[in-house]
Amino acid sequence: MSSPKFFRVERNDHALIISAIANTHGLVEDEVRDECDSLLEQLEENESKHAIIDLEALDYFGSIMLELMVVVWKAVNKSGGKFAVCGVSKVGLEILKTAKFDTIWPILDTQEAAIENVNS
Amino acid sequence: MLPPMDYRMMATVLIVDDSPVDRRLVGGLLAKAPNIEIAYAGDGEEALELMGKVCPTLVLTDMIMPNMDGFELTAEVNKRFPLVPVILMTGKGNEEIAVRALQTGAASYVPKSALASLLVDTVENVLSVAQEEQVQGRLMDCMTGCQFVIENDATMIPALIKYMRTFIRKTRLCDETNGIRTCVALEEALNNAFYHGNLELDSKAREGDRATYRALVDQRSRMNPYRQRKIFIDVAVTASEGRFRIRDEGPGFDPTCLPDPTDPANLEKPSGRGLLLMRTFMDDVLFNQNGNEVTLVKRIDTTMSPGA
Repeated sequence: MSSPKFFRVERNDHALIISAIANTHGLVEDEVRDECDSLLEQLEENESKHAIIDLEALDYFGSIMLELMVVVWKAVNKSGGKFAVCGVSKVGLEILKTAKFDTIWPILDTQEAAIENVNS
Repeated sequence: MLPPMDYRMMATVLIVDDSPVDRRLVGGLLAKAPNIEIAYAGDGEEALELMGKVCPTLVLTDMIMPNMDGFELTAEVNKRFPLVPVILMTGKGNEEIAVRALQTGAASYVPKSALASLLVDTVENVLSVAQEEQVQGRLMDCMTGCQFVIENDATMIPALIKYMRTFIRKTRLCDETNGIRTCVALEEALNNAFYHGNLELDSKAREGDRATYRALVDQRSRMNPYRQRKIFIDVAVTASEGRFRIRDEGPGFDPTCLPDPTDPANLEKPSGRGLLLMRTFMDDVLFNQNGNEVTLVKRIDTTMSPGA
């Protein structure tokens, strides 16, 4: 696995914070999938119960990112954890709403609010 | 409207300030710079009204004004005249306001306390960039479309999207937000053409083991006939719309067979989200009979101004 191109990962108590990195070359689906596997491994290795996806750095995303979020959400759900999304742009929010994910995922303005949400 | 601007011709700077004394002071400083004509407005609303008639090369505005302040004017100019840069004149030494000015979309700022030493240089620096962009913009006005035939290589897709984002911005097809929406739709269409069209991968395969799916992508990317297939992109911009036609060389598919991804029962499934985003963000999404060509249509945003 090469160094991460699309996501930076940090741990905050019981939550794994997955922050999208501003990538001027865009998302290449295959490479995102590779990093997705690494994210799932880190969820297990760090015994993180919850996961937060921080999209602050992206002005938009598409179905590739949605798919990755679903994979992480399902993994967290399976182990009884909570999932939240934060830092979503105007168009990003439209995308989440269009796909109806706003009905199942908490969408918070900031990472701090997302941490508070999953730890509540 | 001003006649199309020659790169070497005069630039017009619109000074916006509610104080007649400050307007004269700023105008006097700029009068020393060569190739600059000056126009004046007393506040943001008057400036926009004037810009609708005669578009300046650059706007130089005070921050605190009645009716519409400098931040609001900057945002409005960015939206309606995307090729016209704005320089804000800020109160003395307030870095927070300077940061906010740049975040609002100002090209630069000059503290009012340093107008005498910084104004002319700042205006000339911003003008040189703006004039180059405006010439590029005029060139793009002459562009009615573009075509690409790309190899079946997923790494080409983000590069093409990046190009299209610039193309949409320069041709002023729509505002920045709608430009992003269009790029979301284009990216989905291109990914569909690559994975589902040319590689003939069923999106249901993504519901299974991810490693198996990736192995299949990898295998087909190296194998004929998939490897030899290409993606054809044909973009046409007219006075009323932008039309993006994307065709792959796969056997095609029936778009009516995709499940509704917003049905709660399908939320976790990857199928159909790309098409949903295309339909949400474009004015029209049309497939050919074979289902291997999609045409995405974006109507021209009539609120966009020619800019300069």
